[in-house]
Amino acid sequence: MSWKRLLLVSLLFLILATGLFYYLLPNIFNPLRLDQIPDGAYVVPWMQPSASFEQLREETLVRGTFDTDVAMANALKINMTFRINMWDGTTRVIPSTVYLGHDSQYLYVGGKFVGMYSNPDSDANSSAPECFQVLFDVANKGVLQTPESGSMVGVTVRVPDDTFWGWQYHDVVWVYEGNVYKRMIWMPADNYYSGGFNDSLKDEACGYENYTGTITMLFSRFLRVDNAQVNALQMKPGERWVMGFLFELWYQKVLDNRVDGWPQKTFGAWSSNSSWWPKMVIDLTNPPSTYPGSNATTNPNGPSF
Amino acid sequence: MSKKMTFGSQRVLLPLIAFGVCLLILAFSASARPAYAGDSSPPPPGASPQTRTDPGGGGGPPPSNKIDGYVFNPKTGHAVPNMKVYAALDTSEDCPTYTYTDSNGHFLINWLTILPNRIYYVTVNGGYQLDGSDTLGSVCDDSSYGQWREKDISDINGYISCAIDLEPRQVVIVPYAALYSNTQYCQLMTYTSTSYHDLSFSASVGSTGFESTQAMTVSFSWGVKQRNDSYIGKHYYAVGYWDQEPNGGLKNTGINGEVDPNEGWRQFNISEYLVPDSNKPNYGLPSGSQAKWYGIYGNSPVSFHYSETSSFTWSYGFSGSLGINFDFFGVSVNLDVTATVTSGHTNEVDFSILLPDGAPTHKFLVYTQGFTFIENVTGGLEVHLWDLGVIS
Repeated sequence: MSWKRLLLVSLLFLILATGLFYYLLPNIFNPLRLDQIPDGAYVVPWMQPSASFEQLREETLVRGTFDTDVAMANALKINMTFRINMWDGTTRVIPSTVYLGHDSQYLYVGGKFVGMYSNPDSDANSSAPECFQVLFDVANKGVLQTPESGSMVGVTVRVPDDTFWGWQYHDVVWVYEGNVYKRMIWMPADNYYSGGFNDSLKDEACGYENYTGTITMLFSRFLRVDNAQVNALQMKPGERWVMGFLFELWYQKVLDNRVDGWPQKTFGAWSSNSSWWPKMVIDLTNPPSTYPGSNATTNPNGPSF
Repeated sequence: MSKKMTFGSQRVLLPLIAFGVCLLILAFSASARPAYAGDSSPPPPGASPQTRTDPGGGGGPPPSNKIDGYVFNPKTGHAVPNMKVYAALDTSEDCPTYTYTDSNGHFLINWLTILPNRIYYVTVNGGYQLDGSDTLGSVCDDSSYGQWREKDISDINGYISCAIDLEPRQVVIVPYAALYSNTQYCQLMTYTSTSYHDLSFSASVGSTGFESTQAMTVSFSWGVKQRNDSYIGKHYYAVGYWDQEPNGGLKNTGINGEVDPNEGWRQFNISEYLVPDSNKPNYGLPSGSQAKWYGIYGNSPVSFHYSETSSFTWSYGFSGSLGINFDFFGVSVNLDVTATVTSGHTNEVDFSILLPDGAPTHKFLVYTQGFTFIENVTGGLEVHLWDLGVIS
């Protein structure tokens, strides 16, 4: 064998070895996560909203809100009633529906909260948001570990107009807060990390109708995005994850939020024990060729008009 | 008779002598106490340290070889307990010693050799650290209060007495983005940032320190259906650092942490402070930013999508008048806010204008504070939009 042939064979071997190292070994040592589905788990269906986010935003301009039952017709619907004890001693009873669905890229979370009305901490000079968040025990260990994952949406109703004014989105992390609470809490990732990362939000539409005080929202968040330091929900194609999850709804006031949760609240009395949380299944193992009921896609360029 | 008189004199004299002795003891003990020691309440707020009496004297030896004093909150007049107090000889500031105030705000350093007629620096809530760093103007030991430094000269006995006013932190609003719109035809405006902005602060008095920059990420949308002049912001703490050297002054101010780590953005109403004048270049609006007008007719929505990914910095136009205002030690301070987007990160502004079907053409003026935009590229998180009326 000539030295040229030997060199060629060695080069080929080197390329194969490198490919093996970079592509095969990670899959051997980091196999796809395929969790077993437990009894009673909430299986999030494959779907896409039946209207684009642009269409939903335009609808809010006409009607104040959009019809979440139509927009998320093929989603998993969970009904609950939040009861929030307010600062004046009254209780706001808020019949609500949370909608969950996913496609290969995004988790869609919708919400309809009837009877929210404006935040009593708002006045003629400033308005405070009313917030909904979904929290995930990503590893499903029953014990929270930093950073976990979560999404918080705040809707601001401006008084005295009593009209929808704006929305905001934050990724949420489970971290130690050493200045005020001096304990592990769920908090907005951008408050903790002071920015410097890409949040998980893809698109969003929110609305408010003041006759019934109803807030509607729909947002899509990436199932995988380059922000692992604040977000442990990083699903690969072909994976099936079972995660603990929790919903919370509150009126914001500095250091005195008023909150309720489903199946029960933890806000203000946070515990790392998530063993009692319900289970959510996101299964990316068998993507359908078409999505049920969908006639719109998420704008790949994000919000634009 | 004389016995009775003698007995009677003793009955009068003995209590008098006892009373006199008590008075002497009381007078001695009172004069021997340091200033304010044993007082159940601290001195009134605003009392100048220079007017406070020097301890010592009376029936005991003069105090020596120690530094002691009190730390008070001048806003309330109450003592500040559990506050870290540093002392260092002028020539050895990198080797300080420290103690903590007690429940009466009193501190005492008596384990050093305090040389007579020498300069010592006493600092509170920060100072030179054993590792050689200096936390004055940057990091407070207790984030609830600002910082203080004074230069003292020990007396001939090696004694220093201090009375220190330590200002507590104050709550301020840090603005992030602002929108001014006088038209109901601007339908929806969205600000998104795929990464973060650095907000920098500059002070009208002294310089800035502590958390002089804040990196923030925002995903926010305004639903604009009517005139809307407002900004979004959060509650932060501000602190001040007072230095008696050389002439006494507020040396450093700045932001020192969020009030509530769980707080989201809050909306605040403001008033438009600019008035466009179509007879002047750039509509008479501040230079450094560009105004551009658009003619838009009925039922023909026009969308604006501005995106900026290169590094740029701008100042908020409104922060000079309502950004972050507070006062420390009676000194009014305004922190101006400057924002920077780091290169490679994206700042996006979207809005659309839609007139009803059949509406005549309106002229709209768009102005973004602090940045000159070239067609569909802009920067800044302060946008002004005016409906200038119908055009033929």
